[in-house]
Amino acid sequence: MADNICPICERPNDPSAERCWYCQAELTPTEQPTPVNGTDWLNGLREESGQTLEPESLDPTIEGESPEEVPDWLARIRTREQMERDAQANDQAAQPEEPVAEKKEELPDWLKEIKAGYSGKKSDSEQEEPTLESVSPFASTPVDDQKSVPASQDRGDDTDEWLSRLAAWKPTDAEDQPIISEPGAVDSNDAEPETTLTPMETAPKPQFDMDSLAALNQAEFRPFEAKRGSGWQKLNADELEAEQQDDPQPEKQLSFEDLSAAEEELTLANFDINALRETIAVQQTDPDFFSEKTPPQDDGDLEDEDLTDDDLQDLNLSGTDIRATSSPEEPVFSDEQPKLHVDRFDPSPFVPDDLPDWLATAKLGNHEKPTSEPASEDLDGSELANEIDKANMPEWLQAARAPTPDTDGLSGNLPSESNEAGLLAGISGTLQTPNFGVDIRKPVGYGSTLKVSERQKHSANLFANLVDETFDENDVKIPQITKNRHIIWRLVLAVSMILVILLSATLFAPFIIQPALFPPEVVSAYDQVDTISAEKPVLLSGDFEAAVAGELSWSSQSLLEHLMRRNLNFVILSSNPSGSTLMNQLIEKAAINVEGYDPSSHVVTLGYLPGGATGVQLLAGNPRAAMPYTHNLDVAWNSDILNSVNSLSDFSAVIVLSDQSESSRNWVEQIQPGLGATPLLFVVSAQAAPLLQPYYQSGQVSGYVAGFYGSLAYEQMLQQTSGSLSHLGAFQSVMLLVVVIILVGGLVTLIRPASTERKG
Amino acid sequence: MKSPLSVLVAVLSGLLVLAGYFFPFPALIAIRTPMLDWAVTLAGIAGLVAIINLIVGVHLKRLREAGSKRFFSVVVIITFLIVAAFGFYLGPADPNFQKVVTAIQTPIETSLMALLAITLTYSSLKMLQRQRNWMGLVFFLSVILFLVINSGVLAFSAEIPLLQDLLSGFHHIPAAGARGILLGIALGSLATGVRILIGSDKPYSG
Amino acid sequence: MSQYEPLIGAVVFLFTSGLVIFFSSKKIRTKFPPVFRKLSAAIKLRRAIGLAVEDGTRIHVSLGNGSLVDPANASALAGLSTLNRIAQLASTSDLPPMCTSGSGDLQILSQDVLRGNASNNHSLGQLDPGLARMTGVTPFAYALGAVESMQDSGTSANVLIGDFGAEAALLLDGAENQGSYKLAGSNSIIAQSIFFAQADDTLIGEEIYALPAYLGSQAAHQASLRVQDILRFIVILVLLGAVFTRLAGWA
Repeated sequence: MADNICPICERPNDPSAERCWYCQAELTPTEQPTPVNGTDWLNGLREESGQTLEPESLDPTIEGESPEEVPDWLARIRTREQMERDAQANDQAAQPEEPVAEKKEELPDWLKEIKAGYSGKKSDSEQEEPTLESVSPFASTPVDDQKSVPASQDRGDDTDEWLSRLAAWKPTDAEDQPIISEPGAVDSNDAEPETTLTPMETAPKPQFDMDSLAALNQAEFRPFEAKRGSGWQKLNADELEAEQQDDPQPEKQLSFEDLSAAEEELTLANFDINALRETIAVQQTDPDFFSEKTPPQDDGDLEDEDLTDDDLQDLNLSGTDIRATSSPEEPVFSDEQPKLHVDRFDPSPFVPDDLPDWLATAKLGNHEKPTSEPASEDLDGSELANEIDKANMPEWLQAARAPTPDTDGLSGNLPSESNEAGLLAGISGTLQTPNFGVDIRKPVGYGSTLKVSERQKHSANLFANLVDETFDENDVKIPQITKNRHIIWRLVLAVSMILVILLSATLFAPFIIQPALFPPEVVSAYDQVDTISAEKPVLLSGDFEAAVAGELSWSSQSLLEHLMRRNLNFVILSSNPSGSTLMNQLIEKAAINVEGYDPSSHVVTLGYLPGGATGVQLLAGNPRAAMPYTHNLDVAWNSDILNSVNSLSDFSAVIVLSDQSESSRNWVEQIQPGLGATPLLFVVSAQAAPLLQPYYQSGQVSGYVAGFYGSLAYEQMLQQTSGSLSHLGAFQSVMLLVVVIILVGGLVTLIRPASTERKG
Repeated sequence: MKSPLSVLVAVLSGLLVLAGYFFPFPALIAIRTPMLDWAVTLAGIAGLVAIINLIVGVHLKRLREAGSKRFFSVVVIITFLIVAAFGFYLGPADPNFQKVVTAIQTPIETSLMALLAITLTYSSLKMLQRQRNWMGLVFFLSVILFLVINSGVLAFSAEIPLLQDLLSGFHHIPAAGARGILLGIALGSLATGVRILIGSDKPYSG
Repeated sequence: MSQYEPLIGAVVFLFTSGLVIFFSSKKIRTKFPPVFRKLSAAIKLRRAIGLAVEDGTRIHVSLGNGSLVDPANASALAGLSTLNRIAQLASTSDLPPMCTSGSGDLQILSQDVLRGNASNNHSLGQLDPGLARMTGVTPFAYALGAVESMQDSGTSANVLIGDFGAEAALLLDGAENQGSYKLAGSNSIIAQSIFFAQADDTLIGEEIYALPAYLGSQAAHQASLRVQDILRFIVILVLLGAVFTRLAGWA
């Protein structure tokens, strides 16, 4: 069967393979049909492996080793190889052979010996699996044709073919490696007629390595369909590496340094038969030989598991792509294979029964073994790893193995997973296109709400608790000393003021200074009140809060008494909810001092005027509409006092009691334009007096009484004594006390350095 | 994004009232007067809403929170309910109900007003710590001067013409300074009102 | 009222509106960029906001107790603009800013401002409506409630912009006990004098209306600030002209 040469790397592949085993390039189908019984050349080998190997094939020189037997797979390989070799030999006579084919015919002597040793040896297990199909990747004849060939002859052809394939992997190296033969080698001529091995041109060194063998087996078997028979074992890449490491100093072993990186091939001459024999011997004695190199497995049940049909799948007999990963724990074989146990390998791929006779008995040269301990015990893989130069490993072996990133230095050279799609399809050694598993074209949508997981909540709560424990609110507050200082100062001021007030009536009474002059605005107010008509009512508006009721009570007392003495009627309203109540209280208090004045018959309370300045403006425009009812919800303008009033100018006077200059200004601005000749008078707090003065000076305000001194002056003009005069001493004393305190404190503050308490 | 309808209503309302004030045409007055009534009514309702928000939104909510001030919130809520119940039942003109104002509110607020004297005195002591500049010094001296003048101890100045004139001049300085400040405030109020009337400034949403 | 006053008012309003629109245009802003004097209070406020964001503390904005129907509501509106800008700057903070006021309409508006910012930051579900509250109906009740609110919420900076009275002293005293930064400004002269004595930084006069512009709120704020400057110079010229006219005996 003609090989399917890869157009990329020009290496032979199985004719039925769709992709090159080496570079994963797509292959054009070959002309030669695949075997009818399946493309698995291995099946043919399985059939031929029905012959059992003689137990005498075990090498008696190996101590502690059970009788070795050629594994079924190897037996079948050899058989098939032999068959193919024969077929090629026939073809060469008729056709000009390709250089690769020529190389196949050149087998080294050691390989011939292998073939010869195998030809007569068969294992028992091989006899029990007659259904295995074996199709060598290099097979040139169908399986059926191969089956018809006598077993021995087929076996030899397969072996030749197989070996020729091995040789073809290194076409440039045409050195013939001497084949080291050992005494007691497997006599391959005993069981079956042997076919002279044609030395391969590309087999320079007769060293065989277990890893190479395993990789070779993988290379052999990969292009074919997975159809397993018994006797096939799963190969573990780590085990292959361990095998390589277990052989510390194989004599005349091909060093991997001899292999160039460009070649990346394993030739037949590079196999170390001695190492392979020892390794196989060790495996027979110690099933856990490769346990330390075994990648972590889910269970250890596979260690002692015999080869089953499923195990054969690990050898990638289906010929699908094999992704050689850089991770030592990743499977060597592709995950695309159905039911592949790719992530696990049998730590002991070789069972004693599977060893070929030739391998068990072959002794090639003076193979040095560790004398202190048997090979099955305490094999130091690390030493082997250090000795073996992994840089020169062929590519297919690198793919088979699980390389370490630093020690071997081949991580960059290892064939990476080849892309099956994209620009880098079919090209090995390139980075694989990462598979995100999601469509990265679309942006991930995030909700606007804060997504907090339970763990995050727990962490946040924990952090909050830690912060609360660490920081206390008091830590950032003003120090207690400073707070106490504030309190003490205030207490001292309060106590001193109260003391002065209490003592002023007695202690400071002789020092009272009475005002000599009357303020002009007070005089004007007095004159206006004294001349207003008694026929019209007086509008009293309370525009002050309860807080200044005490001060305005003093300020307005004399004026209200003056109005009562003239027996005038009052109309009361307020621009705040509590003002009308306070006004009634003031009138009742003033009425006590005026005999014969009954507030109930002289006073109409209109209540609360809402709206502030807007309400005042409404009142100025239409008082009946602004205040239709009294605070008792009686119709206000039907009473005797208000029935003749239609506008504000119908009042005899408008007197506003206010504590703020702004509200006073509102009254002036809104009311005064519509008053006409009606005087507008104010009783204000001392704080509003300076701002009301311009209005008085402009004539918009007829007069006003402001503060303590204003009421005192009004009392003096009425020539009556009231509370203002009795409280004058306290007033002056406290004022002077405050002056002294502020002066002294200010000077001390001015002299002292700037305080650090200031913020900002 | 603010709704253009609310802006349109606000602008039109303001311009109509202003036009009614500047141009007292009967038609404009007929529109302006009811709008002023509505404004007054809304101001009263807004006060009621704010009170309810204070009781429910602040004090009732504080009851659900852990803290030492829950007791005071309970007192506020209970007091509010009692006074409101009595006010609805007795009426605001009832003399007994008016004692709530005269006997409780007036003494409390008068006391707070008295507390201001101590607070302002203490603040005046430390004023130079905060205002260590010429303006602070002038303010400090002004405080001292007018406290002395208004205390009445300089009543003898009436007999001294020079001193009388000087004190009279001092009386006019605050008025002059206040008038300048008030002019600036009036201009600022004008600009602020204009911004709202033309829709540039919208302290409302909708 | 003089018969010309409404006409003068209308002219002033139209003139001011036109100037604001004119200076708000991008072309004018690009060609004649605004140049304002340095306002240290705005700089410190920005720093305080940054520190609050870093510390994960809250910024407290207080709008005073003036109602929107009062002429003093302009300062409250400036406070609302400041609140809006602070909420934008502190959007990355762990704690959003808090706003207290003394009237119901301001409470509703401040709540709306915070809600709008939360909506822009896609954190509407995490917004606490109680962050904008009316702490009291009367000025002193409002002041005490605001002090309590700033003590509860871990406030590190207090911004008082609006119509205040004497009760502002209690507010600032409470903030002083907290050891927090205080920036205050009001249209009330009384409040300004108190702020000058107690606050860390005080906005005198019309500076409260300039604060949103200094915080980089909108182009309209900067334009109105330029218009204010123009109008101020016009008023100065008018006053000087009136003085000279009076002195010359012409009027």
